[in-house]
Amino acid sequence: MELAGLRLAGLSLHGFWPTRNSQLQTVLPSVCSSPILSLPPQKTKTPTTVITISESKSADRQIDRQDRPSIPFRWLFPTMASTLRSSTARRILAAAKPTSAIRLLPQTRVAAFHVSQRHQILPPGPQVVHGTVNDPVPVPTPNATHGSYHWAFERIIALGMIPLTVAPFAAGSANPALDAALGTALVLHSHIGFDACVTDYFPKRQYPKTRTFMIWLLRASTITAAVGLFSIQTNDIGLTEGIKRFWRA
Amino acid sequence: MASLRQPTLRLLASSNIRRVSPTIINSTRCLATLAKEEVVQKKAPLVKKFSIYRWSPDEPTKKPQMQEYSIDLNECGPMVLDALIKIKNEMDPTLTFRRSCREGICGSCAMNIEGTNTLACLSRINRDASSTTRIYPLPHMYVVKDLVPDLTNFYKQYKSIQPYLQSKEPAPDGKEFLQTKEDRKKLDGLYECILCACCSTSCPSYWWNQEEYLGPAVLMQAYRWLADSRDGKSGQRKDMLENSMSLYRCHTIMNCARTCPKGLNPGLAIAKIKMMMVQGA
Repeated sequence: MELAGLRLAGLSLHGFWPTRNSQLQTVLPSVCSSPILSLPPQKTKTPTTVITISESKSADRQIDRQDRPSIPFRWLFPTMASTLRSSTARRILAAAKPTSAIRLLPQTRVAAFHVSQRHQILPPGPQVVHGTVNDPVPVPTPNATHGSYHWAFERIIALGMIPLTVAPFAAGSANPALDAALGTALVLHSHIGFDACVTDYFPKRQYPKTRTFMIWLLRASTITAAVGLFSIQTNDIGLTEGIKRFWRA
Repeated sequence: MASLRQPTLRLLASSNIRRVSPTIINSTRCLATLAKEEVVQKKAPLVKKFSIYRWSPDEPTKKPQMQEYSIDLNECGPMVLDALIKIKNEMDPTLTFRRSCREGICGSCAMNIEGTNTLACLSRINRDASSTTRIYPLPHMYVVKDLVPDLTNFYKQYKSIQPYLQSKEPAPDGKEFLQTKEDRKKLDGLYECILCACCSTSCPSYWWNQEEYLGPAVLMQAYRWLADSRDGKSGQRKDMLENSMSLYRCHTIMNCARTCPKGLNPGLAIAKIKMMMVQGA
């Protein structure tokens, strides 16, 4: 990775930086071709080469004496995307830290590398206080269809499903009427259950569009399930018998 | 809870006795032998770490973080609130939390201690020094600072259920509304609620829909007034709950009853409201 990054850097340097002396142009590919990056920094005593992996003071001083280029990092990497630039640059810098090569790129500004993003599913919005802090929260208009009737209906269905589930076992055979009742109760029960999930997790105040979509998705699914059960009931062997065969398959 | 009612333990739990004891020892130093004094004073320190949620509105862009404090438990009272007060007094005065009665009757010091919503003054410090006690504010609430949650919405919801006696006619004797012992008994387990919001903030339904769902604490108080034989407006009270959000977001998860530091059962109260609504709607 580092090598690839550096090679890329070397390639983009070629021909793009005409004013700077030839040292860099020759040196960068040499760094790339040598396995230096995976080794600890070698102490070479070649003061003429600027970008050798070197900690010798002479090399430093030589760079200082020369006219140091103040090139923004983005000029060196004009074609790369910002993410690539920051990440590869960081890796290059980390790999070749104790060298004088880095000091040839004096104004390197690498943006902070974000290791992880803030992932929030359904983030909470800002706090909203309706009215003053001394006002009670508004009371919704009473509607028993969504209140106690709904709850009673849901409980009746849930309780009714217990005998409907037990009946085929007790009777030993599947009755078409009981089968139909069980299928209906099953569809209604799951519709109410999933509807509660939609109400819970897709609040109208925060996600009105998603909420509407989910409600219609649920309705479509319920109708599909109902039609499927109806066809099993009328054209096929029936719900209980089907489960029985599936069980014994 | 029962152990707290013993006066000796309550004395131990209060922080005053520790402030007094050194002076007593000093004044009697001339009488005591050196050996005895050493026995009294030297106790191997039991250093326990507390990891506490910190966030300050003064630096709103700074992420919330956990800050660790080490406390010698032998120099500290037995309850988590004692530890918090000790930290605030001696180590970090910027640590912010609510507290008042230090005996579980005001509900101010409700916070999430070791994963459970409870009152700091009623929860003992786990004396296992190898584990860190982690303290957070009440979950899913807007934080004012550190361990202080914003309970504005909670109180506004409480106000919306009209938590006071409403009668159609004046009292029969012109003085007061009387109640049989049986009727009074119906209020036991309801009136003890101190509105610390531990139960409401432990309820997933309240986490998702706290703008509209009233939550276990407020609903239990709603039931407290529905169950009151002297109240004459139960019809209107029920009507206020006749919608999909206020009451029926309760899915009987029962975190409320599990976490209640007063040992009450808001889940049961809500179930009773649901029955009442069906029977008399």
